[in-house]
Order: sequence, then C-alpha cells, then structure tokens
Amino acid sequence: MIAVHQFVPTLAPRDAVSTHYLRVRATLRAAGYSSDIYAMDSRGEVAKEARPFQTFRGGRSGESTWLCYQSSIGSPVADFVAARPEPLMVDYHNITPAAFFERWEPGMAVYLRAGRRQLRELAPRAQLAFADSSYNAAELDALGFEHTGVVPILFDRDDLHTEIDAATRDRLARERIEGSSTWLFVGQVAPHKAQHDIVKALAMYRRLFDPNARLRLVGFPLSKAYVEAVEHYVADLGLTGAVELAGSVPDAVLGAYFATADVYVCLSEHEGFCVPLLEAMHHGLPVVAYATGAVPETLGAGGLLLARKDPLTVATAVARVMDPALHAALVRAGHARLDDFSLARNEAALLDAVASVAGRS
Amino acid sequence: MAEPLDLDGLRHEIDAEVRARRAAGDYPPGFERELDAIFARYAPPAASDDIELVTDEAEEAAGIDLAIPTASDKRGGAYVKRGLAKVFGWYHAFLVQQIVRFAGAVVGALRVLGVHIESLERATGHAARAHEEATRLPVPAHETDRDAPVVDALRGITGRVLVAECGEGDLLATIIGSGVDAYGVEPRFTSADNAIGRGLEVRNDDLVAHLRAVKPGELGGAVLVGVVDRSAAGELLELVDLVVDRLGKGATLVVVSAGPSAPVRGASAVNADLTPGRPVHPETWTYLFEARGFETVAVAESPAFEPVPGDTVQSKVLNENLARLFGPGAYVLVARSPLPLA
Repeated sequence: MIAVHQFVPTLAPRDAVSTHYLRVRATLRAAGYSSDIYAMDSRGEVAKEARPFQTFRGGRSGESTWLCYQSSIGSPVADFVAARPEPLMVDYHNITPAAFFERWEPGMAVYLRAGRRQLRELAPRAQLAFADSSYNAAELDALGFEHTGVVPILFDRDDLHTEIDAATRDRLARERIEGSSTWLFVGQVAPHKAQHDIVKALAMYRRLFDPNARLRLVGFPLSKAYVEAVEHYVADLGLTGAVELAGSVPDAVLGAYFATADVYVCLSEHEGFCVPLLEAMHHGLPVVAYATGAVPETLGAGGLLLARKDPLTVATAVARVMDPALHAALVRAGHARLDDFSLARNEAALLDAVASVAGRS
Repeated sequence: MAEPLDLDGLRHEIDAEVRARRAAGDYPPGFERELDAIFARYAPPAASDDIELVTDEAEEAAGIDLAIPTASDKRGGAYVKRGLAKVFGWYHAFLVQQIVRFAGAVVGALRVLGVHIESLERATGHAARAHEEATRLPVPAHETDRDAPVVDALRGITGRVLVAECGEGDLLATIIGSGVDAYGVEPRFTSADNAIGRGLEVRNDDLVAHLRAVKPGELGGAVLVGVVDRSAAGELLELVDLVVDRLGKGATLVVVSAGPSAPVRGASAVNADLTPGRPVHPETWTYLFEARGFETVAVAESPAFEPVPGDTVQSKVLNENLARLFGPGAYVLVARSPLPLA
C-alpha cells in the first residue's frame, strides 16, 4: 500500500484551494492510495475532514508513506514536514508577493515572506513539486526545485453552486435598472486583487456609457485597512448604492450573484491561477480581465484579456462586451475554454505526477 | 456554426476607441488623475513618502492591550473567558510587557534611521523628488541624424531587440522598418499609448522593471535611449548589469546619448536640469561594458558645437579649439558581447 498524506496550513469552507485538497484526497483514495489530510487549522463545515498535523506519527508498517505539502503562507506545518523522514512532494498554488501587503497589512507580509522562505528551504527535500499553472511552476524552478510539473487545480463544474438562493436573487434583480449593466468580481478583498481599480473603472464607465451601472464585489475581507479604503473610495466617488461589498457568502448566495450579473471584471495585480474565472465562465458570464500572473494561462481564449487596466480602457472594453452579439460570443468562448479544465483530465495529471515518484498504487 | 472570436482584433478596436476618446477630450483629462488622488488619500503612506508618519503608525501598533478581551457571542462564553483571563492574566501581562518593550526599541531605532535618512535626502538634493519630476517631463524631440548608425549596428542581428525608452516610437519604427524584430519599452503612459497607436509593440513599463521580467540571455540586442541620460550613477550601474545579463552571446548593445556637453534649449533643457543624473562620456560606457565582457566596436559622435565652415588653416584651428572647449556632443556607441568559442 502506498500512502500520500497532505499537510496543509488551513482547511476552510468556501475556499477554492481547500476544495482542491479535499478533491486530491478523494482522487488518491479512488486510485487506491491511502490518503488523509493533516492541518494546522481546520474550520467550519470541513473542520472534521482534517487531523491536527502534530498527531501524525508516520505511516503504518508495510506502507510506503509520502508527504504532500500544500504550500501556503508561513506555517509551522512546513517546518514539521521538513523535519520528517518520509519522502516529500510539494503542491504549489502561489504565495502572493509580500510587497502587496507591506503598506496595508505588515503582519500578513511577514507571513507571506516566511512562506516563500520555507518553500525555498523545502526545495532540496522535495522529490517532486507540481503547481496548478506554468506561471507557478516557473516560480518553483526559480526557487530551486529540481523536478517540477503542472497539475491544474482539481475543479469540478458539477460542484458549482447549482442551488441559487432565491431571496438574494430576487433582491439583486429588484436593484437592477432595466438596460444597465451589473459587474461582478469574486475574490478576497485585498490589495493584490485591486478591487479599487474596478471601482475606478466603474466610475469611468458610469460617466461615459451607463450612469446606472453597478458593481458587486464578493469575497472575504482579507485586509481590514484595504476594505476600509475601498469603502471610503466608493463613498467619495458618489458610488454608495452602486457598489456592494458583499463579503464572504455561502455557495447558494454566490450562485445568485453570478446569476444576476452581466459581466465578470478581474483587474487583479497578481493571480497564481484564479478559480473565479472558471466559475464565471461556468455561469455564462463574459470575462474582461487584466493580463497578469497566471490569468492569461487560465483564461486562454475564453475571455477578453487587456494589456492595460487604465479606467478608460476597462470601461471601453466592458461597453464593447455589453453588445449582445459579442456578449454571446464571449459566453460561448468561456464554455469552450472550460472544457480544457475537465476534472477527469486533471485527476489523471495528478495521478501521473504522484505515480512518477511514489509509484502506482 | 458561430464565427470564431477575433480577440486580437477586438483589443485593437478597443485601443483605437480609447485613443480616439482621449484625442476628442470625451472626458476631462484630469479625471483619471483625480480618481487616483482620491484613493491615495485612504492608502497607507509608503515608507519612502513620510517616514515619520509610518513610524507613528508602527508606534501605535506597538501598544498591545494589557486587558484580555472577554466578550463572546456564545452563551456563557464571556464567563468562561473571564475565568481564563483571571488564570492567565499574569502570563499575558508578562508576554505583553516583553513584546511592547521589543516593539518600542524597534520603533526607536526606526526614528533614528528616519532622522538620518531625512538629513541624507537634504544633503543629496531629494533625488526621489527629482525622479518623480522626471516622469512628468515631455519626451525630448527625436533626432533623426542618430538613426543611421543605430540601424547599421543592428543589421543582421538575430533575436529580439529591445528599444528603451522608445518615446513616441520614431526610432523603433525606423529599426523595425529595416527588418529587425524589435519592440519598445516606455514608462510614460501617453507616449507609450501614442506609440501603440502607430501599430508598434510597446510595453508601458519602467525599463528596470521590464528587464527583471526578461529571461537571462533572451535578447539579441538592446538600444538604450533617454534613460541613459538621466540616471544617477548607481542606477546606471544597475541598468548595465541587468541589460548585459539579459543579452545573449554575440548580442549588440547600442547607447544613444545626447552627450555630456550637448547644448540644450527648450524642453530638453528642462529634462537636463531636473533629472537626478546626467549624460556620461562614451569612455564611461566603454569602461562599464568592458568590465562585463563586452567590447565597444564603434562610437559615432556629433560635435557639441556648430563647426566653422571651410577647410582653411584658421577654420581648422578654430574647430579644434571649439572641440577642446565644448567636448564631445551626442553620440551613438555600439558594443558587442563575445560569441561563444566554437
């Protein structure tokens, strides 16, 4: 029997990477591997899916045991796996450069820097490191990992918010003004996601194209200072009521936000993969995104990539996308792009990567 | 069957519409800047902007509460927390006092550093302000008489050629017109936008930031303009290190400089006066490139003065004296990295 146990800093509900951890475990188990999740912190509905990492005592006798570290911000879990005797593989989903947080959340910047340092220290220990994009894999190469590869995030369209919260959908529909557009962005409210740039572009769009356009920002408020700045910005631009910061919401509510939006706008400064792009494509929203980090790789030809994100360019792009024919064509392009991320294909890539070092179960 | 989407065409259409709207003044030109300024009011200050304010913030964060919070939403939670606070209160106070003492020492050290940095900035004439001002200055007019030696130097080159800073794209267009695969980098948004509007491939980016994103050995050549005439000495050294690293074996490096004693008037005079550095002599480039394995293969100089016409003995003597008096003018310097040994 071969065991591949995952070690993760945090397992949280409604989190794309946590969903990936659970799916990795399911995929490994289905393929005959023994697999559990060990975490420093597991919470909410998924709290029982992980064991405390300190309780790991090694594999059962006769079992060939591998550790798979799910890299994240600085964590004692990295030090723990580094000190273990079992062979190691690393799964990397990107660590946001600390520079984005230095001014806003200096404490967070410390953890991000520590995460990158720990990752570098794991390089000589790891027999294999895989990442969910070539962009992330290039970072692993730069950090000194010898054997690297790409295994896209395990994403299942069937998991996506099939239920829609009716009350939220009705409220959002009531707020809508006939003939005007609603923009949506989903992601942690944090400096690297640059929600303030979306607000800025909306201000330009309302001035030039559609005075009743709205923006809905859904996501966990990761940086209190940044969230407050965005709120002040919205108020100062006279956009109170036109911009909603919805916070973190349950899946069914998120489904309602997707169902009532007209366009998905992503102006992030940094993304290691960007699962919400896939969600937007799944929900039939045309995507307008700033080409940075792994965004071009994830979006492919499934949406409109912009080389610049000055507010006039973004506003003009969204205005073009609101043309019904182009809107429909982009929705079709998004659906076609999603086929490239089929779960079966990505599960096979994961199993191939694991088997290349640990052997087939 | 639906027509496949032409995303490149769509992007070009959007760029064209943006340029047309800018040109037509469809929205107040200061609107974008105003939007940025409003957000900047709520963004935390950068360390380089106001070190005193940053230190004040650090000091405020260093004050950790001695009282353990005991509020709770759960029934009975507050009682439990109060009990725990009573039991661990001494330990909490012990830790807090040590952390506050440590943080206070760090903030104190920051204040000392801040005082030293401010006096250093005063002594060096606020280089950061000069840099900021430089980003707002207009691009100097393109001098076509320096194009020919640049094009000659790049003839037959293999690999991509970086032209930086490319301004409105005049030199870049000439280089591409001679059959070279070239692209530009220009930090000033409006100039970059105008160059893109001409159909040129131009990245609106800072040169050093762009070079950091280029892989080592990836470029077949580089043409450096503008930035070389206004960078301070330390910045020049960093730029040379970076560009040399990004060039492949046998690559060509061209420096187009206004020259250390070029006479300047108008917008060029403002550029020359309000920038942290100044143009350096061709000998300096030769020295820097040789130290990094490159060899200077040509220097085409223009005189820094209007030569006295004629070939009489008097005019010859006058021109020699004028050259001594004014030194070299604008020049194009070409350097090459050695080819790998066969």
